[in-house]
Amino acid sequence: MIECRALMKTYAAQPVLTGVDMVVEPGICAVLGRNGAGKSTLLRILSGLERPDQGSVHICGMAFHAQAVEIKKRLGSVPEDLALFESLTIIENLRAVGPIYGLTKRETESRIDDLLALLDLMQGRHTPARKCSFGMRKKTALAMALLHKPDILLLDEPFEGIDPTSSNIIQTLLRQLSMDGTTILLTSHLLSLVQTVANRVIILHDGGVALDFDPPSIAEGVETAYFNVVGRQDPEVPGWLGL
Amino acid sequence: MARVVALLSLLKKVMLKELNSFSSVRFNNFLLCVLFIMSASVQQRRFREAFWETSLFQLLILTPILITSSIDTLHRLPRQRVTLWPLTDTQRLLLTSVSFVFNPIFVVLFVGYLFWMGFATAFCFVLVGLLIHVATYAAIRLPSLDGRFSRGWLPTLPFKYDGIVRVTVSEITGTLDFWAALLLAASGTAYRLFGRSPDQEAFPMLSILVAIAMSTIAQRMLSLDEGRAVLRYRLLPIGGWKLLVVQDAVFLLLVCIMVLPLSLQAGLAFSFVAIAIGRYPSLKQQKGQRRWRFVGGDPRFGVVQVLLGGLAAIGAARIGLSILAYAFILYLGSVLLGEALWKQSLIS
Repeated sequence: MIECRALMKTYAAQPVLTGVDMVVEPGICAVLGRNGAGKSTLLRILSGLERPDQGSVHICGMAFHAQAVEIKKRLGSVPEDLALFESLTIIENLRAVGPIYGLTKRETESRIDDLLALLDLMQGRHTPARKCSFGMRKKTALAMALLHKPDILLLDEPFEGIDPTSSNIIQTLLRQLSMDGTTILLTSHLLSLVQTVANRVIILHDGGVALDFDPPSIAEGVETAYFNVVGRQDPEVPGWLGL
Repeated sequence: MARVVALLSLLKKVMLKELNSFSSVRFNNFLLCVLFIMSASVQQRRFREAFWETSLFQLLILTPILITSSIDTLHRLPRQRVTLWPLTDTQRLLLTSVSFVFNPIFVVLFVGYLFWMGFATAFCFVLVGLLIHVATYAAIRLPSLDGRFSRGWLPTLPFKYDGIVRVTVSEITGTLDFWAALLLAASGTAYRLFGRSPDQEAFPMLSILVAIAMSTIAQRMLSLDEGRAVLRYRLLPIGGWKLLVVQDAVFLLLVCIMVLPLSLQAGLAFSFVAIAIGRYPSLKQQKGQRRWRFVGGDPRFGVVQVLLGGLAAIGAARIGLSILAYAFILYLGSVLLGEALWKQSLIS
C-alpha cells in the first residue's frame, strides 16, 4: 500500500506538488495530468529518487528516511528515463540486478528467460541497451522492475512507445499482478488505454489531486472526465501554415 | 554561407553558455600533465631543448586530448539535429573544423605553444589538430564498434554485487582515461624491462602519471555512463557505502594492475587520495559522461587531486607504508562522507 500525506515539492520557486494526499491499495491506479502536472515528480518521490519538501510517504507502512533499503526490496520501478546500464546488453542488465534483490543465480536466470520471452526481448537480448529501440529499452526497464516480483510497481508511462502486441501483453500482465495483490501506480497520456486497464484514476491538476475516481463509476468515461478537469484548448493555427 | 554563419553563431551561444559556469568547463587531469611538463622546462630555463626532449610524450598526451576535444565539438550540437539541416558534407566538415579550432582548450594550447616555441610550432600544432579532427570526423562515421567488445573475459564473481562490478568495469574501460593510463603503464613497464639501465627514481613518477591519467574518473564514478546508472543505483536495495566501496575496489584493482610493475605504493597512495577528493563531485555534480572520451572533471577538484595525490604518492614511495596508511584513512573518511551524501537527495 502507498500512502502520501500533504506532499509538497517545488522546483526553482515553481510549485509542482502543493499538498497531495492519497492512499493507493492493491490494484491498478493511473495518475493522469498535463505535461508538468507533477506525475513524474510524484513517482520519483514514491520511488525514493527525490525527497518531498514537505509531507510524508509511506510504502507498505515504512518511511524512506528510516527503511529505504527494505522499501526498495519491495518496489519495482520504471522511471521516466528508464535508468538502464547503457553499456550492458539487455540480458546483462537483468543479470546485474537479480542478485542484488536477493535472487539466486538459478532463480535470476529462470526469471530472465521467462521475462525475455514474455516481453518479446529474446531476439535482441545481447544488444547493448544504448543500441536498442525505445520500445526495447522500455520493455527492458519493465523486466528489471518485475524481476524480483515486487509488491509495489511504479511505472512512468509504461505504454508509450510500446508496440500494440507488447502493450496488450503488458496490460494482461498488470491485471494479473493486481489480482495477485500487487499495488500498481502508473502514469499515462493514453486515456483510452487507462479506461480499460485501470481500476482507479487520479487526475493531478494545479499541484494537487483534482479528481479521484473508479472508471466504471463515471458514465462519461476517463477522457471526458479528464478534459472536464484540465480543460480543452482549441489551437489558433497561424495563417502562414496554410490551414 | 549564410547557413554556416547562422550555425557558427548558434555554436558560439552554446559554447558561451557552457563557459558560464566555472565547473562546466570540462577539465581532465591529464591536461595537468602537459602543464607540469611545460612548467618543468620553464624552471630549467631550457625552453627549446625541453620541447624536443618531451615532444614524443607531448604527442602521447595531446593526441587523446585533441580527439576528445574534437568529439566534444562534434557533439556540441545534437548530431541528429545537424544531420536534418540542409548542409552539404563540406559545410558540415567546415563547421566542425571552425568550431574545433575555437574550442577553449585548443586556443589555450595554441597560445601556450606560441609563447613556448614560436609561430611555426604553434601553426604545426594547429595542423596536427586539424588532421586529428578530420580523422575523428571520418572515424565516427564508420560503423560503430560498440557491442563488439564482450565482457565474457570477466569471471562471474560469487557475490551479489557482481553486477555492479561488471557495470563499473564496463564504464571505466569505456573512457579514454583508462586506455591512456594503460598506454602509459605499458610504456613504463617496457622501459623497466627493456631499457638500458633504467632509472629507479623514474618508476614512482611513471606510477604517478598513470594514476593521474585515471584520477579524473574518480570524480565521475557515478556518472560515467551518461549519468543514467546512478538512477538505477538509487532504485536498488543497497546501502550507499557498499556501492561506493564496490566501485572503488574495481577502480583500485585496475590501477594496481597497471602500476604493479612500476611502483605499487605510489600508485595506490595517489589513487586513495584521488578517490577521496573525487568523492564530493562524484556524488554531488550531475555531469553525464559519454563513452569513448576523456572524463570531464572539475578543475578545482582536479588540481587538489593532483597536488595532494602527488604528495601522498611521493611520500609513500620515499617514506613507506605509513604515508599509504594515511592515504587509506583519508579514503575511509571519504566513504563515510559518501554515505552521508548518498542519503541526501542526489537530485535537487
